[in-house]
Amino acid sequence: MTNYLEQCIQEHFSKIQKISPDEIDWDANLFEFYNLNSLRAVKLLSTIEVEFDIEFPNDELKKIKTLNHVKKLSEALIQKQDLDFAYN
Amino acid sequence: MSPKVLLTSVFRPFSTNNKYNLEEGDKFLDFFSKRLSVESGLFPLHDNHPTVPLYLIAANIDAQVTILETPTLDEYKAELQKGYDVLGITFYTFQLPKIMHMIAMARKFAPRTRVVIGGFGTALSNLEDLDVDGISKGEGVRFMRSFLNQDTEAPLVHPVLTFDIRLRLAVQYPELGDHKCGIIVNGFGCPHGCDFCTTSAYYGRKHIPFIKSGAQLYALMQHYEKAQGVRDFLIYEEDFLIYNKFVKEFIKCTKASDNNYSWGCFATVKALSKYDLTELVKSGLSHVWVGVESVKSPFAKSHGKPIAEIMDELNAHGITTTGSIIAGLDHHTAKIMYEEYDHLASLHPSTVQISSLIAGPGTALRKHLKEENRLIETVDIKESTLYSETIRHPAFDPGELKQTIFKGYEYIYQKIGPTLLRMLETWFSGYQTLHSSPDPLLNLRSQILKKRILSVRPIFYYTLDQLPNANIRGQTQALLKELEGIFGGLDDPTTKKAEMIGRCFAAEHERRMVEGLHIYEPDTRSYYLLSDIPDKRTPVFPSKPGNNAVLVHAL
Repeated sequence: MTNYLEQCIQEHFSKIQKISPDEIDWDANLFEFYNLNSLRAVKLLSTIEVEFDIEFPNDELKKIKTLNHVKKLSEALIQKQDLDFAYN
Repeated sequence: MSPKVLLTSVFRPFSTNNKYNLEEGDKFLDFFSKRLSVESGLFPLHDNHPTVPLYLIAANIDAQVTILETPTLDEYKAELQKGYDVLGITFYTFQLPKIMHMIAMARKFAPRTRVVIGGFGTALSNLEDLDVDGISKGEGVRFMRSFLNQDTEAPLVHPVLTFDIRLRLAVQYPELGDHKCGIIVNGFGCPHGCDFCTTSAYYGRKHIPFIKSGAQLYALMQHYEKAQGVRDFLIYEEDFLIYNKFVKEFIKCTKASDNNYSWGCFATVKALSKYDLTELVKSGLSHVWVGVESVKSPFAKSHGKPIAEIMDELNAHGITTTGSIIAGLDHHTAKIMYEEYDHLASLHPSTVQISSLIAGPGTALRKHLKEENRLIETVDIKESTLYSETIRHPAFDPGELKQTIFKGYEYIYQKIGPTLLRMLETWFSGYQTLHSSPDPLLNLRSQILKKRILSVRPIFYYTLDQLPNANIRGQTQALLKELEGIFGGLDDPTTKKAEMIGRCFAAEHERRMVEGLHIYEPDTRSYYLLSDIPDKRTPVFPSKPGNNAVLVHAL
């Protein structure tokens, strides 16, 4: 699942940002480094939500800063775990 | 083989406070309780407006069309999986997060379906970032015909579209009844080009007629009556009365027959000033939405007769009105806003709208404010409603303007009473003016007004304690007495009805004390239009039992 999740995030993010998957830095700040606008951010998250049948809670959205956050939060939601660890 | 097309609005729920909705977002498409009769008591009105553009497009393309309105996500998913060639989703700006989720679902569950989006939401910038095959900006019928490689100039038809007006309370107590009105889309866009107007900007400051003549409009009304027994209409047109030749032809048609239709429209002071009001009354004018905007309205459309004179004349002829004003104009302060509310209340509009000044996409105002660095661009998209604060204003702190708007609604409610009472007062005023007229058409109008008065007055008999204050209660009691003097008291069946209404009000009052405001969520509405219709003038009936028929009329 993790590999597929990673692959999915990578694929969609590279498509949205029009960059090669190899160039993606999972720890870079999405909004400052990648200049991701809110429209593209929602597009990425919507795609992940639909693909994995999860729902990012409203309160969590503002905490997401990196693709690693997206990945960990998605994993937690898929596995129905406590969400706090996603940002550690 | 006709293509299979799914046309849908965004998904519900609307009342859950989450990333898609605001807390107060439960009144989706309820133009009354959300906009025009925002009142704290139990008298607000409610309507169940359809998603008009979906029906207009469906009726004017050669396709097997399914229309979904306010589906749940599960219903939307199930429909997607039926395999459509094209999916069209209409949305407002504040619904962007919902439409993005719906696009993602379409790509997963219907990967071969081409996705098109439309509606006022498409005025937003950067939509090319969305994963869609087409963006319909402006008039959607022509766009969809072109998208499907069909004749964009083929004759147009108008679907029969209706909505029901009722008390908001009737959502919980259907026995309170409702009233059916027809919706007629006369045209799009507005030539006035007011600098703040998103509609005008959206259609490139042009007028795009849908109905081509006054005679066509009248024939369409006749069709509505024949098909659904509807005799009351709301005409969608930004400034209907400005199209003088069109309106005169329409008036001529109404005079040539035993007209008993009633119609409402949007009109500017500028256009209203050019008419002899009795001619409009004879043709059935019964409601006008007038953009009052401000005591010091800076807009050219407000030039003409003094607004107070126009509103007095409308009220005196039994024509109910919507008076709308804009909050947050440059000269506004909290104190001046109350002067605006006093002015608006003095015009005695039946319904009111107070919206904040919004610099919508594509407007001249937006450009000008951007240059002055006064746009607040960090507003959450889901908060892009009539009451958004998107402009920095020197006299209002963040959040203050919105608060002032809602205080304004309450202030007006306390001052001139609920919408329904104001309507009753206007109808009575019109009855008194018209009932002794020697003109048979004016006399007919007085009889229509009498019918309305008699149908609405029972609402107040056993609900006086629910009125906002002693002044309004006294005013209502005096009115009821005056009505009894002219029309007599309530007969037995009407007394029983009045008592039933009183019980519903009392029950809701008690429920609300314990549980708070009632939450409204619209039902899913779905319509299936038969395929390969050789002649669009033939009524189109649903293929699925239980759904309402969608009828069309050739223009």
